[in-house]
Amino acid sequence: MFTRILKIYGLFLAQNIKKEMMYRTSFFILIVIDFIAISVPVIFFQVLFSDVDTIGGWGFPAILILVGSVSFLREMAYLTFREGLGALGEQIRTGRFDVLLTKPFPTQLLVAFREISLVESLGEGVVGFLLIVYGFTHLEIDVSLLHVAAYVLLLFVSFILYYSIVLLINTVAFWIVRAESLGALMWTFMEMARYPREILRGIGKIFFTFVIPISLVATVPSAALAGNIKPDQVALLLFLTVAFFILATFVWKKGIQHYNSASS
Amino acid sequence: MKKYLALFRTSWQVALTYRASFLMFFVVSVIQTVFLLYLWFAIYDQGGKIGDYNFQEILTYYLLQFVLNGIVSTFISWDIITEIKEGGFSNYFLKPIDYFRWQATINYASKIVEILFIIVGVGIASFFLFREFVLPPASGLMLFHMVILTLLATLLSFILEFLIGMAAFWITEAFSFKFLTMTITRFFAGNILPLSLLPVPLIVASQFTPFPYLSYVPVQIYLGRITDIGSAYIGIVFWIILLYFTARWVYRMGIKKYEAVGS
Repeated sequence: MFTRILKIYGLFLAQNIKKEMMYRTSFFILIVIDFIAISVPVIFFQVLFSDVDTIGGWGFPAILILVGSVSFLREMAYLTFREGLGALGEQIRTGRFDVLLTKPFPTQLLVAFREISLVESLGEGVVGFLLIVYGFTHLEIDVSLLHVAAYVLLLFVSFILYYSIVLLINTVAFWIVRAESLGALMWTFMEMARYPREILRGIGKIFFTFVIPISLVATVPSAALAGNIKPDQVALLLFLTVAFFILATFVWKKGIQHYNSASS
Repeated sequence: MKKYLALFRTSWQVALTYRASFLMFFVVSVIQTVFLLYLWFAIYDQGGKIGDYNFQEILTYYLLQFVLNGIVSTFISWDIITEIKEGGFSNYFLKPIDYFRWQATINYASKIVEILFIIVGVGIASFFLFREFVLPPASGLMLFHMVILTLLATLLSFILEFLIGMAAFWITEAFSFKFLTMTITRFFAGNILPLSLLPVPLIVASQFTPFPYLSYVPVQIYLGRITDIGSAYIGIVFWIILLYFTARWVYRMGIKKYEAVGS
């Protein structure tokens, strides 16, 4: 099954890259947009750190890792599920979802893979990766491979959590037909994942931990890479990832049931 | 009667989609502002200070940015791009109307509701919530100037949006272009940071754009950080006139291009 998924994924990727390469100007524009979009938080934090040394315990190199990690995660998402799940509402509205249901392949992955895009967020992904490397090499601590390993593992966990949140938000489309604008909301939430979790307090902290857990998505892996791993936050991230994944899968199944009974 | 009903229904649908994008914009700004406020609380709590802003000033700055930005921002480029891309734009050739004025009418009609929503709903609520930190205006006169300049800024913002929408005549990725301009606009309008704190090259760059007049300049006047009111008025009127004629000219060029494609 796994090789089959990889094969199908490869086919979609090749197909979509061909499609994207047809529009050269688009490619160029997207890169420029990405570059400017990621410059904004970097300039923002650079200005702040000219006046303070740390924010919520994060130094400037650690913040760069954090900013870069969000961008990197985003590119990973565009390469696998981001646009596809976002288009779920459209699939349902136009009735094309029926066709997908009949295919001998997991429907959720089919929906996700359909719109995978290499270039949509490529500029951000590349600059993000460079920021991570730059931040990591400018940390004022002794770094080890262990940090890198923890980072990669936790980033993968975060990726699953990110997937679960996006899936959960988009399955709303089974009940409410027009749900596209929720994608813009998710975008904003990810932008907010660039702030240190430590600045949050009170109701905001609870909301962005348990309702929309974006305060953990990028901060937990980044803290690990910066040598500041916090076991309680790692545990929280793992717990929420499992919880959100189960919840999203459950809602997805309910959604499919609802869809079947609506069309009969 | 039937045709008017149909017209009513379409206008209503248009208004609803428009409202949805405004609501979206609104929720997004609330989230962004909330995180920024958390950030300032955290920084000033640990004894930090950003530039020459004390805590009250920075808080007032961002709350005012939030309110003014909500009043000034418009989304007509979104509609214009959709109309041009999907061909609905052709309808306007048949109608005895001027497209610029048509869009301006729609814009200001919806603005009234939005402005009430922002000022009554949130502006006052947040100012009330943070009342112990919010600074009063530098003077009554300054408050008056801020209001007038903000009203002028709605016009500037409209013309800018109209121009951005015109991009759809030439580039297929007009929506991406719109996103790009939005990021730049927000940045140079001082939404993200007070412009005076930016690195010098960026401050200089901002002075060659109309964006600071959208919300940065009015907020600075409220705070009493800009006292040269005359230049503020000259600046914004200059940009309005310049961009108005540019928009008219670009529109004529766009029409030519549009008709050429059709033939």
